[in-house]
Amino acid sequence: MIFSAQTHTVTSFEIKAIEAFGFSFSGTSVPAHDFLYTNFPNLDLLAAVKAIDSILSPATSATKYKRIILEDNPLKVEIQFFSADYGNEDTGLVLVRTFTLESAGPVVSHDFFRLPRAARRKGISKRILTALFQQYVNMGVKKILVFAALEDGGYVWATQYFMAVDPMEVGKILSRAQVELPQDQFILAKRVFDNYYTKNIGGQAFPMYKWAELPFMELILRKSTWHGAVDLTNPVEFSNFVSNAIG
Amino acid sequence: MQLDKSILREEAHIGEELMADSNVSKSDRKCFVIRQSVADGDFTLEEALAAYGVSREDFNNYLSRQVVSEITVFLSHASSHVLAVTASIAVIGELYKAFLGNVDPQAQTFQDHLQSLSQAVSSGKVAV
Repeated sequence: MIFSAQTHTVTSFEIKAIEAFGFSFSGTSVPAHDFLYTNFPNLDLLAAVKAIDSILSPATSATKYKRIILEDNPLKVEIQFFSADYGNEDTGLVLVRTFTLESAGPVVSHDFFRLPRAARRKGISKRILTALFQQYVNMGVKKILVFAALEDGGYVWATQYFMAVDPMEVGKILSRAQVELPQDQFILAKRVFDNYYTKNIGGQAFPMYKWAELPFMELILRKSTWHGAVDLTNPVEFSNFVSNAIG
Repeated sequence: MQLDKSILREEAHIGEELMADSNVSKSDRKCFVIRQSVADGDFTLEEALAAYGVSREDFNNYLSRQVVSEITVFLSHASSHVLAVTASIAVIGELYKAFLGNVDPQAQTFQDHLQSLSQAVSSGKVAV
């Protein structure tokens, strides 16, 4: 899929339309449309919440909470959509996406996403990602951030071309591999590690996907915890992420 | 109702769903990593094939599909199908020259065949 940036100017009418979808605004004292226009230009928030609402609402019969939190320091837009039973692993639903304005530009954090068991494997994740990704492109989002942790997240997000940003976390995973893997397998994992960090001292984009595809590293990664990012300003990372996750 | 963020994460089942819905097969993902690992100098091709558990045949097949897909995308903008086919014949000829021109004693025979095929396509003797 090819994404091209679209310009958008948010209006007070759109803010009213977003509220009509059941979303409440909180946080800054600045009027929402002024805040968005000034700090997050080209974000079509109405299109984003419309998509979220239409895709996620049918997935739960529980009471839904829909919020937009606008913060001044740091400058942030947080979209929350969750069910009253969001904490329940079987029936809970929650989506939280946070846009933060950093010095280089906006970044988006994929904070939380859980679908009720009955709504999984029905293409919902891809539809949400595709709808929101268009906004990332419109806004010129620089990075997508994820915390890969627990319940196999350490492996799954590696397969989705998130790069590891913290060399210490990657080093810990390698140490675990040294303990748990036979020497010949550990050496292969170490070669990927050494080659990357020799060429990129303190590098913040370790290619976890290279580890994820080594069959013996899957179990190690499933038990791992690391912070990941896709750098959307890097054409290769952009293309890897989009062609794999969106198509 | 407030969201207790301490108990939540971007859950693995979301990524698993993306993986299941991906247009990229598991085998192609592995081949992509092999190509990248070799290009980055992590492994030699033979080491990478063994480490990632991919046969040479499957990797060759992947590489060919990548090249074909690249050429097909480019030639899809040709003004006619005949032009696209004759251009692809020319590309095959160039690839052959680059890889086997100095190795195959029958190289000229192959190039002659491609040239006559190209002429037959252009004149309509061979329908495409």
